[in-house]
Amino acid sequence: MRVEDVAAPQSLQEAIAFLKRRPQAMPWAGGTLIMTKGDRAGNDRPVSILDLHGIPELTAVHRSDRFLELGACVTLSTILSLPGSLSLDPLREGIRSIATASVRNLATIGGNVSAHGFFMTCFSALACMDAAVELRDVTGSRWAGIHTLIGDDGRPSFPDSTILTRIRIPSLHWDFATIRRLGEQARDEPCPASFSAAARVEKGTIMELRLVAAGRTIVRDRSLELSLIGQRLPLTPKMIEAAESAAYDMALERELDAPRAGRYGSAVAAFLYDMQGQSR
Amino acid sequence: MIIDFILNGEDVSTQAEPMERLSDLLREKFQQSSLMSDCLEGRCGKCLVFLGGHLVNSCLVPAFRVRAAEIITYEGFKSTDTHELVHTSFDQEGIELCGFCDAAVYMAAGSLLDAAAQPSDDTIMETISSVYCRCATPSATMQAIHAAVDLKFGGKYGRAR
Repeated sequence: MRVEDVAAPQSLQEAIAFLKRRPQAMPWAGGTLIMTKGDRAGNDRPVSILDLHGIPELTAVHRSDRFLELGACVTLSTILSLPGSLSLDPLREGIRSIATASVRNLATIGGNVSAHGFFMTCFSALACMDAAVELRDVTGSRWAGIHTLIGDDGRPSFPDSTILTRIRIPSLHWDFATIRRLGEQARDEPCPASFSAAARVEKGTIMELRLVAAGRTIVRDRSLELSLIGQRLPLTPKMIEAAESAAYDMALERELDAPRAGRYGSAVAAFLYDMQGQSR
Repeated sequence: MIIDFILNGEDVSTQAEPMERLSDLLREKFQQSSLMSDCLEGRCGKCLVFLGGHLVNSCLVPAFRVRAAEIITYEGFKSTDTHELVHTSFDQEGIELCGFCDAAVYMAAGSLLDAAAQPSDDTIMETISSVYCRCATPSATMQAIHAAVDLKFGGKYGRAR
């Protein structure tokens, strides 16, 4: 990667002004992915870098009764150090599985979410938690569900010439949450594919359920989730087998390779078994 | 581009390519020989430095990112009381680290002592696992760090001495 120039704006207005002049500029937050895997084009084209780490708004953490708002340049280690009383279980677990503590001091949540070509670990956790993202470009800013960063083909589709500025996570309590890897990391992938799940159970009935697999594509089968929501625990082995099979089929449809699709199906079944085991 | 920053308490300035790795920059232009550029992926942890007070892998930091920042390498860390504490504790536990690991392990241990509160076992394990070191077992390293923490915090959890 050949760097033509580096801008280090001190405010979002300055960053947007730079983006207006250089729409192809590469936003730089922690930079851990680019430093290890190179940029997505992988060629020697000259690039302008927009270094975001000096913008105070992007490193702020705000908390209200209804949600937690993280600036896009908040580091992963900062998120781990947030009070344990916040219901961030899937995200925390996911972050703990990422690299080492010293790398997490550099890596940012925004960088993890807006990686090109692959859904990284935090994405599946945030998708599970119904997070929203604030995107800013030369035309202004807008809030959107994190699912707007998923293309119709299930692949990442982060808009060009846009900065991710904030991530809003609803303060919902999850009774059960998990995140796990779906096998080993392939050579050309920045991290292993991941499975995230979260559920809320009231009086022995599943009230909310999220099952997400993320890798090159994202797999979330809303109809499977809806078929399980409202069911009383314990689920019958037949129902869990059916859920496993439906998850496997959906993963294949979303072009996950067969071994990973199998692991996704098994992970769904394991989560359902764990959930009813713990709720006894 | 010209990069101005603070290295071990001194204002320094140098000419560097924007994407030059900080580990290379510090070794080649500032003779910080304790830094090893080994894996270049943030796995081995042999290039740890404090950047703005945070322990980071300098091989993952491009030169442009350190403009106006404060960096402490092992050469600077060696002269601190924290290093003295860590070194004493490791000696007392009988841990001998090789020349490849010692700087990074001492700095990782030092980062735990600079925190406001006593670190938990999980935090110690996670921080120490930033350095790929086979000179000592994790349990021995943990004991040494606990000893250093006790020396630093006076054995009183979360309270002033």
